Amino acid sequence: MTQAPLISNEDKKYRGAYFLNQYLLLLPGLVLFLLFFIFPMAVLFENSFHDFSRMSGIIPGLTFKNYIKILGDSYYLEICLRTIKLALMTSVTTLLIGYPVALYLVSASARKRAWIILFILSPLLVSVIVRTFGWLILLGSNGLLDNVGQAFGFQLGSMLHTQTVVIVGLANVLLPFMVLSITTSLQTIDPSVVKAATSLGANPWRVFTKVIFPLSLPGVFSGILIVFSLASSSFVTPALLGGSNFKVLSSVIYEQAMVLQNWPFAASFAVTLMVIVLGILALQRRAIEGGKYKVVFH
Amino acid sequence: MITTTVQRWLGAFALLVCIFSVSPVLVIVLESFTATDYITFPPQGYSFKWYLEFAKRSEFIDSAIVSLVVALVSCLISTLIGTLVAIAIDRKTFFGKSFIQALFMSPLSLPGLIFGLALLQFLAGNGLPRNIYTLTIAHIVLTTPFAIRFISVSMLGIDPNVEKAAKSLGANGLRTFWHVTLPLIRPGIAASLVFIFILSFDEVAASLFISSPNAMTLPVRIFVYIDQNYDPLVTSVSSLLVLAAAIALSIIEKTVGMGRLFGLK
Amino acid sequence: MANVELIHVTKKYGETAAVSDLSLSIAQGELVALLGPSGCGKTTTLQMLAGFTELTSGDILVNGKSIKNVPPHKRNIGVVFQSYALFPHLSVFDNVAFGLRMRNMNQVDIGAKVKRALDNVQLSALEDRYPKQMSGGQQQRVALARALVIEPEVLLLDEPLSNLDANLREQMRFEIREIQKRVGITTVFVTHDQSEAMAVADRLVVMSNGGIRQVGTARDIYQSPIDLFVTQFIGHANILNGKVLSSQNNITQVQLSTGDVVQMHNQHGFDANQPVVLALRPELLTITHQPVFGNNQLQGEIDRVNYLGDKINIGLNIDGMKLTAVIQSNQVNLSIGNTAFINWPVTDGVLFLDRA
Repeated sequence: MTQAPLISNEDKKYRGAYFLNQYLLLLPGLVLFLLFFIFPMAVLFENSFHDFSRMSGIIPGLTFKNYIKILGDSYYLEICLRTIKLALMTSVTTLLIGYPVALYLVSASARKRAWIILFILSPLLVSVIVRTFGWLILLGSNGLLDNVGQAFGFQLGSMLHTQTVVIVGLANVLLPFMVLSITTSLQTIDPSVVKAATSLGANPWRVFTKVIFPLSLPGVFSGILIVFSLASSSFVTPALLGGSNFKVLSSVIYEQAMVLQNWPFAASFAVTLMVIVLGILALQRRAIEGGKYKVVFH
Repeated sequence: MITTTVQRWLGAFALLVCIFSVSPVLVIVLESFTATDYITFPPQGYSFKWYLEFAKRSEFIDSAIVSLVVALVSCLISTLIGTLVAIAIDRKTFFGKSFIQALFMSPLSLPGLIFGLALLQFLAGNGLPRNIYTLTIAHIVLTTPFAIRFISVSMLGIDPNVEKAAKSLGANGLRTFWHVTLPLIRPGIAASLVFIFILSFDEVAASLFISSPNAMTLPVRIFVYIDQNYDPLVTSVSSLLVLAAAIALSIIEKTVGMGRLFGLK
Repeated sequence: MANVELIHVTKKYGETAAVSDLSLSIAQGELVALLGPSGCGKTTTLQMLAGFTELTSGDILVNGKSIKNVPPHKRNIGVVFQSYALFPHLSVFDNVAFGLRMRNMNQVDIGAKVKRALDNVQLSALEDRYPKQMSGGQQQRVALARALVIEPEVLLLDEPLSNLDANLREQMRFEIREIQKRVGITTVFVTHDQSEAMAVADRLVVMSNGGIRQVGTARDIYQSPIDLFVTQFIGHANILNGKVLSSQNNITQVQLSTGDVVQMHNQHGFDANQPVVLALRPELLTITHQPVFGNNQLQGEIDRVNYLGDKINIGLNIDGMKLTAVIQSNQVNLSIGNTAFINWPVTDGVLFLDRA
């Protein structure tokens, strides 16, 4: 960044708290993060390169064995692909559901807006396990759908343990993030731009496709990114709604680490998951900076 | 921006989505009052028995206390550390600033699951136990970025000339900070405390790995229970979590407002 | 109450000088306006007076004592910021009381002083309000009261009126001047608005590029600008190019680019054949339908007439050379296309060497 800072370095001296030494300020945070964030991540990374046996535990000596197993074994590969597919479909679903809501949010009256914000955002304050369990009740045996179906004479039984249900649950949990992202983006659009487009002859549909939607793309992209990374690393929702046969990467991590005690293998899955998430981050950055909507993202 | 007919359709759709959004939570709270011994929705009968059952289960009560304590300590310490870091970032120059900023924000882009696993392996590798202390430390690491964010935003809103004005009126560095800066970041501190409390109270993924039989947070306890049982007890316990969320919601709405907390105008 | 001296004050940021070798004496009770375009160094000078920016070299004396190394909170200098910088979390009363509290004054005295300060700016009824409940003009007065209540040696005002709308600005500038005179406090007023500076200040300090171009009263600067920059910065001026034909006995003959020859009295230091510019204030020009003798005179055509209520702004074309004249609206009837004679007294106008 070459532009001048809003507050010059000289001016900073006259702000409150300047008397506090910056190293003292940062010390507690840095110590905490060094010891309990950086070191653990390093341990995780390093462990992923170790072999493991039930007899002797973690075997010293670095090896790529774990990664080879992940990429080579069709079982694990299938799980990786399933995770990515799940995350992708969840992103698309939340986009389709969330975009109209965001659109309504920016154009509604203040009162309506407050209510929508309340209903969409407040579930974020409730633990994911509670929200997911609610779907269990709705869609499981003797759940709402089942009972309603029985009233009409259908034996629906449990709707659970399918990919669709997991997507429904994940979309429900992650929808607020998509709505937030798109809404923030829509709010940056100057309403006069829309009026200008109309005065130049654009009908409402074209105003949307040629003006509003393109200008909201930053929010769309960042929403997709957030939902994708959260969905691909989600554990509770796939575990509860998908069941033990619907395994995703996080289920494997849990199983390997807590049940089988094979920490190195679990670690390698964790690293793989991180690579996927960071890979999407990088892809998005490339798309933003190189694509035709480059100027929108400035 | 939109025509009125489109607006009306959008409004109807938005209403449906709102119902979709809150339905699982609503369902849980309603179900907690069922008189049946099994889960069925809509609930049949109307009873407090599952709440009474909850009160009898010491493991759930213990977990509730653990969650409470961890959340309380986390929000206090995270907010404190977050404030110190936010001050350093906003007002000081130092070597490697952008790197340090990125470092402190990184738990946000890391799945809690992975952090939990990493911390677990780290603790075991260094002979450290899984207990309420390490659990709290995990929560503090996960929530500090939020504290930093909230306080930083608060600080950006301060007109720099206001602090210069205080100086011109005779306040030295310490007094300027105490009388002017601190009161002006109070909203950020309040938001940080409330939000981090509920974040910690709700946390599942990392806690799953760091919890131990003696120190298990409530969400983890629920998860473990669900693994083996499918009965309405979970719904009454979950309602406690919903209650906590409701209290947090009302505090947030009264102070800064949910929309503004999450960055909407 | 104090006098202030800036002695060879310089402020450098790296290699660039924001303020360069600036020296200025301000007398007790005087209101001096630092005036100039953005980037001229007026705000930097003010910041150095307040103590928020350190001098690279030079000194600042208040009542003969150097304050160069005194930190801002010890300087006892009142500052009114462009954004007013009121404490948003404190009421008007507490805002004004702040400086007194920092001086550990007792409650009773604080109460009395604050009330008197608010009376001075006509805001006593609003002492329990908060800044965000007040209009810009009211906030500005609170800022002023807050700065004055500590009875500072010097008052600094950093473009205090630029955030107000035009009408309020005009009203406030006179109020500020009145308060300043009543209290008798030495004041430095930074502004980029020259009519504001002229209306309010005892002396103007016209600055550009980190240095002072001219110091003087409004009249001095307007009528006898020291160079072309000052001429064009203060008020409007017609700039005519020409060449000196002769200059002796206090009379300089100049041939304009159109060929017309004009005489200027009281312009010294010119030699024949020097390229010069002649600066003429629009209101000094008289326009007639018939030639008039005794004055400098040009003949041309009217190509613009703007009726402005109390005056008329007229654009004239003399063989391609453009002039603007401003006359009272109750004068001659003039329309576009008319031939007109433009004349002005030989004692009016200023001549400068053309350094272009």
